[in-house]
Amino acid sequence: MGVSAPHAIGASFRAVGPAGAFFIYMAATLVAPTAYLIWSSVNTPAGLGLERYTTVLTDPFYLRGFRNSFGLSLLTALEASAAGALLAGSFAYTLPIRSKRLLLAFSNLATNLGGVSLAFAFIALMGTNGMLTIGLRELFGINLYPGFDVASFAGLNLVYVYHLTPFAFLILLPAFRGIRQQWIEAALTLGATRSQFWRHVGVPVLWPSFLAIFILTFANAFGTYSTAMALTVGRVNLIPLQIGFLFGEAAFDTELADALAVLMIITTSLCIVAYRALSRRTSIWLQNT
Amino acid sequence: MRPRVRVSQDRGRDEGLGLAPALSRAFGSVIWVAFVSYSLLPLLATVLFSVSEGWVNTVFPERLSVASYAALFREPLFLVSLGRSVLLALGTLLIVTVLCVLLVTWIHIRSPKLAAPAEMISLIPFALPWVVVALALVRFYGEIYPSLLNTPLLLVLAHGAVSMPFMYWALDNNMKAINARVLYESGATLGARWDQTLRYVLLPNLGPGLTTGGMLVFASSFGEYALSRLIVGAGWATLPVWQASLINRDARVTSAVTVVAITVAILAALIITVWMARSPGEVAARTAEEGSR
Repeated sequence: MGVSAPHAIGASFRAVGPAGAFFIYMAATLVAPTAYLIWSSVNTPAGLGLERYTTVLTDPFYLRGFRNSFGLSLLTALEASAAGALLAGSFAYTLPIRSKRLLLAFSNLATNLGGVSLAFAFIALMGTNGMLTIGLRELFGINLYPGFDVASFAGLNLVYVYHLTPFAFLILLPAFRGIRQQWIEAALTLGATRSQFWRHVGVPVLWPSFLAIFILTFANAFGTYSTAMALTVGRVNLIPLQIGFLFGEAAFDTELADALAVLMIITTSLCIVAYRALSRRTSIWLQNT
Repeated sequence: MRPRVRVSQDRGRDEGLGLAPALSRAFGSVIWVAFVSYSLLPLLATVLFSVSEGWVNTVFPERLSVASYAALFREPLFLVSLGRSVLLALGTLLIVTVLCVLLVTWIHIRSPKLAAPAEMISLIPFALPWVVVALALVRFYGEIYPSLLNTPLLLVLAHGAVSMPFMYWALDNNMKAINARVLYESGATLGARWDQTLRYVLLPNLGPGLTTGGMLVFASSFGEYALSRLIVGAGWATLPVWQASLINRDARVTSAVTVVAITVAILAALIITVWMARSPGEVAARTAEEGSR
């Protein structure tokens, strides 16, 4: 308290030093614009108010958009994290070591495929003239169309799961590796069966990691714009696409996009906070690995 | 009939052996075969489509040809948009590398207290869907500096912001692994300034972090669509934006673009890896794994 204000400011300047460039950059590109967006969403012509939120949340069209976005993301997250857990479990406990480096590199590559290229790759596979569509028809007489459409929620679900499954696998792997050989030896020595070990030790240790990756994949799917836009050309009602329409195509009330965006921020931020809390909890088991 | 097979396979397994009985080993292989097939099928379909001719009623293409690639190079926007995307990714890489090297160096040698706020800020791009980032930037700069709207400059700034965490985490892990603080103190004892330590001691040891971070940053910027479409759109169409606009065109040409886009992303990853592998750095092997978390 004895330090005078200018001195304290000078000292904190020196403490931040060249690292300040990072903080200024992130403030100018993310923090300030987001703060402005939140302010803009409540700044109505009649003064501050929640009008836009009530408009958005009572409009059946946007409500359906939210329901679609939640439904698609929950389903995708459940499938991707379950598949990721199966992959991580079999990778950690059953696969020969020789294949592991290659499979890790492959998963890294697969999870980085996404956006427009992945959407188009699925059109080449399952579009009306896709390889699988033609193959199933010519070989087995099975017609994918019109029962299925790649430019639909079912198609989006397949594409999202494609790159979120290896992502879930890569994040879950350390947790599965954290279950040590000695633990089961100790359990077996004390007279437990394998299934008892998994029920009382394995699963309780692993479930926070599973929940964490479920939340993370949900947030990712919930916020995805590029894949959905490229695959369906905006023909499905998802909230990220609606935001894109509102401010891209000079629509009637573009400020509604601000309210939709803030509702998305709230959802995804809660997910990230929950993810951090859960992964801190899991890190207890992984410290010594 | 072949009693030795099981034994020879077991030698290759790691310490987790006792956790899973034999039945689940077969199950594990089945799962991985299914996953790898699912991952390869769309890529295989795209490559086949791009070199096919007359593929309507047969399981595989009747004839193969490179006509779609020739057609691709006749498209005026192909090389232009490809060039823009490469430029954009390199610009993003430059911004992110400079800012993160300065930040991480300072955190590890001078102000560890900055680690907590930096960690928190690097989570923001994950809490914000990119469509929201685009909207916020357009709203904010539309208000305070409208001439920045619709420019590649705003786009590269946006790319830098959302890909910052990849580089930050990679370099942060790298610095922890090389014990940067101890190196800095040794340098200071010998009379080196902090920038000299950075130049001659720390940077040569940051190869693994720069590689993994750089790969992720380049790949994500090169293939990025949401920000590009919403910030500059058709006015400065990047490869993904141009690619997406081809949706109702000849599927062979769109498949050829997709093959090129995926190939460039993979090549960039390989080139950075090879280039970095030749740079000095004793801890390369040890930190590569940590940096890629």
